[in-house]
Amino acid sequence: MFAMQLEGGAPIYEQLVSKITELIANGTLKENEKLPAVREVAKSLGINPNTVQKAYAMLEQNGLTYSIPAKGSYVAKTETTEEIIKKKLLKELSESIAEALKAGITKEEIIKLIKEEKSDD
Amino acid sequence: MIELKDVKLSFDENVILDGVTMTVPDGRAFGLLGSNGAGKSTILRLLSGIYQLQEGSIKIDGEDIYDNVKIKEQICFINDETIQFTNYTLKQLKNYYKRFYRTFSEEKFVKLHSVLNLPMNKKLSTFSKGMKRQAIVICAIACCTKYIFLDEAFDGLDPTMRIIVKNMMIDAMIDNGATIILSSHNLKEVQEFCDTAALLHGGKIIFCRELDSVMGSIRKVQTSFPTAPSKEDFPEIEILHIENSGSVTNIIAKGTEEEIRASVEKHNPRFVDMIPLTLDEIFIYEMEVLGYDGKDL
Repeated sequence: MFAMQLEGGAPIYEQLVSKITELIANGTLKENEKLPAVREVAKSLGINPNTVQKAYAMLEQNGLTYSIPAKGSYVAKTETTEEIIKKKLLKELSESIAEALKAGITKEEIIKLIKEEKSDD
Repeated sequence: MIELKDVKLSFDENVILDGVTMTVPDGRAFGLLGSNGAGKSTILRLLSGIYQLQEGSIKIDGEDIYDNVKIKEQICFINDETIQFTNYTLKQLKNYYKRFYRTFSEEKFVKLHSVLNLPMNKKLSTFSKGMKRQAIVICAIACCTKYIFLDEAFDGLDPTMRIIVKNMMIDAMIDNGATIILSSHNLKEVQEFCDTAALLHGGKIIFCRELDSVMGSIRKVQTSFPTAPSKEDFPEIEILHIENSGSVTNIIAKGTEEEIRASVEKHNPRFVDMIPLTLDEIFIYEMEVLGYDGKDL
């Protein structure tokens, strides 16, 4: 069972979805690995089993997991998780760029950095 | 399914419920929230057939409750008052419940009892407040009813016991598809444990919604503008509260993160920090709108 700290404001199923997405993206949960049972998650976080169910349904909708009736939810094949990692990194990158631009770093300076990085290969 | 339609109830001159309409679908964990004296316990007592209905209608699985054995044996009500049982031992209490509930599971009772350290042959009057509560909770859950109602659900229980009681309810929901209604002042617990909640005030329902749609519907924004704004500067969003303190502006607004951000950024803020309100804060703001606050203290 994974550990997580519930935060005050955001819906709990969303927090659960993003936590599990993160665990899949960083490889903690691997392809075809079984997610903990709904009962187990509900008890360890003190939350409603319907909420866990909702998060699991959402993960399946997002293509991150698949379910086997009467058995549980499993992590889907890794192509999707690689895509998630890419998406996540791109998002972080764009946030950093926005922050850098705000702080007065020019686009040219950022492009220069990227070019330098490429030449390191 | 539980359906209340325009339920009104008064004792002598006192109006306790003033037109309550709400629906609790099967399999939910439903939280009843509200100020002291809002009518939470009264609703639970009406739903358990303890009080007779005066006006409106209450149906559980399509039937009236009062004096209806068929429906009542599917309901277990855990009252916040335990004084009526003080002369019983836990063993007697268990047999008392067993007599009324055909679905009572001795096996379940033994399992629940094994988790706790409660004597079977001592009178409840020798128990502490928390122990009495535990005794009644395990008897009630062993009844394996479709509906479980808890008044002041977590009152008088230590943190470990709260977890145990919650786990018992989680099992009841998964194993028996139980529907749970609980009243509580502990908003954090309701926020975590319930999927739907109703806020009551003065015998009326203020809101009755799925918590996922309540949570994240109101946000607190801390920001700073070149010139201090007023409510009218943000016509796109509903502002519940705005306060300028020095160069910092605090806003409480309804809407999604994107909607609020779009509206705020029209005024060239130096920064925008946004966090969703907790249920605790939503409760306080909703009550403040109704004039229920501690501001005059």
